[in-house]
Amino acid sequence: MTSDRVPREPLDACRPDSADLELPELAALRESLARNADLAEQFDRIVQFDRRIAAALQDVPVPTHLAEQIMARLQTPPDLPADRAAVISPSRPPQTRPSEHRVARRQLVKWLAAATVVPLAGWLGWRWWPRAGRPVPAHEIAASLDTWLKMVGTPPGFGWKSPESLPPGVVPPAIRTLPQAWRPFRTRQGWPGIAVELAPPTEPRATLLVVQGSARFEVPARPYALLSTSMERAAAAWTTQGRLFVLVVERGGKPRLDQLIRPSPLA
Amino acid sequence: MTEAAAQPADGQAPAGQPPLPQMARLVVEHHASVYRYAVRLSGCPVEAEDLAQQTFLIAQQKWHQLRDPAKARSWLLSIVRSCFLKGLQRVRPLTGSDADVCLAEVPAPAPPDEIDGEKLAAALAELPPEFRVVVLMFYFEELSYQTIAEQLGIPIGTVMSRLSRAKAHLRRRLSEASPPQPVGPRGVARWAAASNSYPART
Repeated sequence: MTSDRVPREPLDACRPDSADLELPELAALRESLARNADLAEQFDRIVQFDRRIAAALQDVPVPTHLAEQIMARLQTPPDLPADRAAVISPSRPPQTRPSEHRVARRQLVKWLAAATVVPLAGWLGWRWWPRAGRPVPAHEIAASLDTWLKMVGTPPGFGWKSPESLPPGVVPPAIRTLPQAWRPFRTRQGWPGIAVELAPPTEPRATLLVVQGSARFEVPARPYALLSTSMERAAAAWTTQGRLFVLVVERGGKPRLDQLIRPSPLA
Repeated sequence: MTEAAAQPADGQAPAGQPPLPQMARLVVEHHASVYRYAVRLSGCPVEAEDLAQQTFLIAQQKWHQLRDPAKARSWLLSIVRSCFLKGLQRVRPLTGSDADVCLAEVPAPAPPDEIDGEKLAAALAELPPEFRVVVLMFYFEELSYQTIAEQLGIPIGTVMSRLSRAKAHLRRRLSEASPPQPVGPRGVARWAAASNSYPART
């Protein structure tokens, strides 16, 4: 017991299987432990707890592709490495007056390069434009839903938090029900988002995805545009002040969406 | 981490950067630890992947700073932590003090025999980042309280206090029969409130 007037903090500060207790500033604690069997027992329990926590913290599944992804990222250096530059540099001094044939061939190479690079740059620009505000049509949002839902997982799983800690203003007034759990996520497009579970665990899921992107989402400003509907799943979307709201319900189709979303007074 | 992996550039790579095979070895040997630490810090697997990638990019650029190959893991973990804290500063540069935090009366520890992974993740997520960082530096990086204080630039007393409070919180949550509940006058609500009013740098 700690009635030996030993503060709790030094006990907690000693790492298991370390020489921390030998530190001069912990001499008093050392003496107390030697004197007080109850305190020693309590310290032993702390150490055992620490060992178990340390082991449990390592229990995180690692994505199988992670090492490859990291290596791929590392292998795209910003500048051309020196050895690569050496390979493409001319092996003999350049001609001061190239022949016409050579000029024509260079022109041809330039044209071919331009013909390849321009469409590629255009495609890349279009592909990554979401960060810069390109329009995102509703069908593209609908196509992303599977991925987004897979990324957020299922509550009360890893990363899900209690509704009390949900930042204010995330759930729009149009939603009739109270959140059950929430978690942050990031879309494949790089937009930060928050997933809010609206259904209690006993009911089929109803997940509100709130995405903050610089893209222009082509859905109405008031609830809602139907993205998809089937017996298994229905999804509706709208956008307000740059935020995209997508409500996905399992089972119940459009009627369940209507139960959860308050219709706009102007609709 | 082998000695060869941490040798400085051998002339084949750009100045200051390791050759790719050595970097690859570093990634293979330590990506799991880096990712696990990132998950525990951020509480989010997606964010953790970003943090892991960012960590190895910085490691590649600052390769010359790794003097002792045996310390590659701790060097990488300190980069993860630094990236995480920088991210926090960008998100919420707020101020506060330890006095805001509710410290429940510390009961005699009743650690469960088996640690429930989900409970542990939830309990960690409830901690304000400043407390989470300290407790993870203690458990994951296996750093002493003096080293934690030096690396975070805060007094030793603050480290000991945060460590003790964070461990008390973990003990309490993990010894509960049911999963952590969000509501409570002195529990999570207070932690959550505190987490919105804390300086990111500590």
